[in-house]
Amino acid sequence: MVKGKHESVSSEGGLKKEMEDENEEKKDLHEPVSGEGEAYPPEIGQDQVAEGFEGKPEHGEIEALTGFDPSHALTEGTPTPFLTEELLSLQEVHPEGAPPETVCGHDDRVQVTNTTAIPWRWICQLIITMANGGTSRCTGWFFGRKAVMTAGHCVYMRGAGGWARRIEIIPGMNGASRPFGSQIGTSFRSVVGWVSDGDPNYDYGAIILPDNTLGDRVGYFGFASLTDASLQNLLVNNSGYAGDKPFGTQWFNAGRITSVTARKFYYMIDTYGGHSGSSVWRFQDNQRHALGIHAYGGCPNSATRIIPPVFNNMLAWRSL
Amino acid sequence: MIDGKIVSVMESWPLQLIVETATDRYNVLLLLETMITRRGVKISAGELNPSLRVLIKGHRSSENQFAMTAQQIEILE
Repeated sequence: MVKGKHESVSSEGGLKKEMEDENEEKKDLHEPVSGEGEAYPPEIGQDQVAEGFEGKPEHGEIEALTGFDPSHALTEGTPTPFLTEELLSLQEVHPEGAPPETVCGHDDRVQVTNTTAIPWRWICQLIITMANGGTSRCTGWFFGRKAVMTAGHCVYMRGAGGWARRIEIIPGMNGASRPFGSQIGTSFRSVVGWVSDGDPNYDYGAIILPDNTLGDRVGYFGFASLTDASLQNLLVNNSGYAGDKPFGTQWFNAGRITSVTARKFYYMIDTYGGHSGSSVWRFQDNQRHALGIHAYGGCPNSATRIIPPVFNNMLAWRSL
Repeated sequence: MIDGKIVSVMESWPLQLIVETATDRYNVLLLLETMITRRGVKISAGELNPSLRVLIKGHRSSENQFAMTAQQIEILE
């Protein structure tokens, strides 16, 4: 059976069995709503939009006052999170005077300090236990009540032996502070084009959490599949957890989409290792819609574009 | 050891690379302790870019001969 490259695959046994015997028809209980099929690439004739949700934080929201740091109020009475040496070592130290290449030109990233506000609290530090037992990190973002979007190479790492073992999701992480706590995910999704073929054009995936307690508190991004014309030259935003900055801090930058292909779009937004999986979103008319999943550096940097098959898989994963 | 060109830099942390040699394509996972050098001088992982030619020493995956972890990366010019 020939699988479309956008056909969803799950970390829960489906693909491993499939790769052992390609001739055997596989049953996957999480078949996507639709795959790409024979036509390639599909026409993107009109914009598609799925709405987000702002969330319902418990016990009210803390007012955003200039100079007031809400993190102490949010964590009072809860155990203080601790940073292990391994987590601290995930921060890189630069040789002085050597700007990272994926920072495009002048580094104008700014730290997000109020990570309890929208949309920053939708954005998550991911701490990944890889298949080989090692630790890695990426960025993810809520796109459903218990669904976190990220890059395919954050949930399935060929060089580390395949599917991650577990991923800790920490929304709005701010240094040592975890204002909403965290949740562990062990159920992952990606697509045939990434897991079987390692094709960068299909580099996207998701973490499906055990329940919606965290997502209902923080809320989630909407997302959209836009036409080439809508994307070209669009001003977009990105924020993630960069490896060259103090551990657990979120860094924001923005810029314009400079070029668009059938499955990716490119921009000169400053990013760094650790940003993989972060949302590239449009903020317009007071609404936010993710348009792509940041995945590759190189100035221009690039995102896996949300096109109709990606959009449809996200709808399916969001409703799991 | 592989001698090839970086095709893609995936921005997980540590980074992951796709490297093409004359005959094959490799998925390379960096480690926190991966030593990266240019002309013998240690440099940051942030300086790895597509199109750079590199010499990579490391360990291949037992499950996939085209997947490896990098112990050392030398940028060749």
